[in-house]
Amino acid sequence: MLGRGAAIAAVVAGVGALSGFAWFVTGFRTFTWPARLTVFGTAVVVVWSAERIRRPEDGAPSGGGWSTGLGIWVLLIALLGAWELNSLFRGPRSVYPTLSSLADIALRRHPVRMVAFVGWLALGWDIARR
Amino acid sequence: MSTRDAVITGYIVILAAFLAYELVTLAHPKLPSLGDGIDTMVRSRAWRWALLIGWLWLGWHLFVRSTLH
Repeated sequence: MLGRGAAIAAVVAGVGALSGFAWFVTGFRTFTWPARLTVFGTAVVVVWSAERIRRPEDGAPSGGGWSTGLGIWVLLIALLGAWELNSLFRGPRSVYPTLSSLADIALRRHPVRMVAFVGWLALGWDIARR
Repeated sequence: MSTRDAVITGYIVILAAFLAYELVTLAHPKLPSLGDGIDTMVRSRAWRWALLIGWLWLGWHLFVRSTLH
């Protein structure tokens, strides 16, 4: 067992290493092989490692409330998709921004880009371990 | 309000509805949260891989296609 000090040091080192790696990966130029390889390589490692610790499957819940609740999620996702597609096909982006074009503005800042990359990895980890 | 502002307001309203409904599901455990919805989806192997491919596409879209430079 690690002592409290060692555990804190391990967490700080882990966060530092992940941040440093994310900073490095998000600094590459667009459509370059270093960008492709580091993003896809990291994705493969995340999915592979999360697969090793998959959560046991719960029993499928049921009931009227559950189905209606799922329907509301589907409705919200469809609404967001419709709003996005409306902007995508109407253009120009300066008048009809898409979520991508809004994200691009935020992601021009390297610290924001680094945090977004870590968030993207966490999302993939969460999906893969389900 | 310009058209651009109206479009952005639309995104904010829809995303606020996501957050509000997620909070409703926390208060009412008989309703599925977004995570529960994803759990339901990934019971199917095809949907699970579709979600992972969508996630991979998002990473390419945000971190390979767009750039700092």
